[in-house]
Amino acid sequence: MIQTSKTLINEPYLIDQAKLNAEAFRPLYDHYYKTIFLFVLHRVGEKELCADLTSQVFLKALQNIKRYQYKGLPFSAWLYRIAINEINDFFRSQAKQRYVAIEEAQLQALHSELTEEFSLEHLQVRLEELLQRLEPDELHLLELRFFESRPFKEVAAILNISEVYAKVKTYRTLEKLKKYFVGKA
Amino acid sequence: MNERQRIADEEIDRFKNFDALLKKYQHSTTSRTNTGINGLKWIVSILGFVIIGSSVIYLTIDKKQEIVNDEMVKVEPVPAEKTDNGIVTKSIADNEVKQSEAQQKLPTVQTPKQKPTIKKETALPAPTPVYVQAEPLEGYAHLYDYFNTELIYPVAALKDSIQGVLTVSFTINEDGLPENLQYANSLGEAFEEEAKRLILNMPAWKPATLNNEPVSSRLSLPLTFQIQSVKEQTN
Repeated sequence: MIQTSKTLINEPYLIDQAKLNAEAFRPLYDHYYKTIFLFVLHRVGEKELCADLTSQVFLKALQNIKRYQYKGLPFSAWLYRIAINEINDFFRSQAKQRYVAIEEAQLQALHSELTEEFSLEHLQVRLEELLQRLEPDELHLLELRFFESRPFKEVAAILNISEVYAKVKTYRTLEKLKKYFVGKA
Repeated sequence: MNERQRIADEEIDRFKNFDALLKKYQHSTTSRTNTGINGLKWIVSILGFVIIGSSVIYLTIDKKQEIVNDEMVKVEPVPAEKTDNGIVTKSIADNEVKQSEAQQKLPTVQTPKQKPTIKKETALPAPTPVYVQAEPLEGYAHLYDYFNTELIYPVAALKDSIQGVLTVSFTINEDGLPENLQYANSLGEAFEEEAKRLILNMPAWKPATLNNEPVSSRLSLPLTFQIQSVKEQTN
């Protein structure tokens, strides 16, 4: 019934310490490594590549931590934002295939948002083609909101946009998908 | 579309390497500093060239003006040429003297403008004292594990559903012991008592050092007291 915050209990303190001494970044690294690793893995699909990119994310975080300001959002939101930039940079420079990981239940949720006219199997067959037609930022939005079930506040913080705009953009992205799905089915 | 990859925690842990990350970071900061110094050297060099260049241009213009002025001086006695060639000869001799004077002026103008550049390159950094922050003997991970497991929400405050962050600041003395506790953003006496209990019983600290001598240092630590949503309590 009673619990302490799920974030690091002394997170602002640890961040302040890390600003003064890079070694003090270790507990933050230990705490968030798995979260960021999985976040990247679900977008690149290869473990070795994911480890390289994750290492790059933490290096960038360490290099820029002096500029980080605590504004009530978890430190993870800032790390996710760096991770998204790293992933975008990677796919821009390498002509690699983008990887999108989806659970069955999340696919069902997306299906119910899009249409009842066509079956779930139909969406499953066409999803790859539909997602390829989205812009990179629209795909990130869809992944964060629908495939990872993150609250809009967090989605907005990760993508560095306002919460209202995150909602509007999600709605527009869904409309776009719907148009492609229903229109071409 | 792909199903989410299942990966064991142990496998993720195998990729973790903070020491390697720290080395990369230190290397990158050293490179940045070097780049910064090299950049500064370039700026100083360019500035030097600009100063020397502008001095030369300035002096050339100055010299030309003096020659023109001399010529004007020389022009004045032209009518006298008809009567006395010696006047012309004398004027040319004056002109030569003035030109050599202008040439002598050249180094005296350049020297003061170059001086700041030389000073910047030869300035030595002042020696700085070595200060090492206080840190938990068994590391921060162990410390925050302690706070995570030991922090108890005061039952007496439950009826008021108080939640928030209490910041407690304290001194780690030369012996590595906490003292002089102070509270900011107090949530009430019960929370302060709990914070006091936690701080006084927390794992041991290594005191801060100044030139390898232990010194006391002041730290502050935010403690988050939170109750799960009312909905969950009632369920």
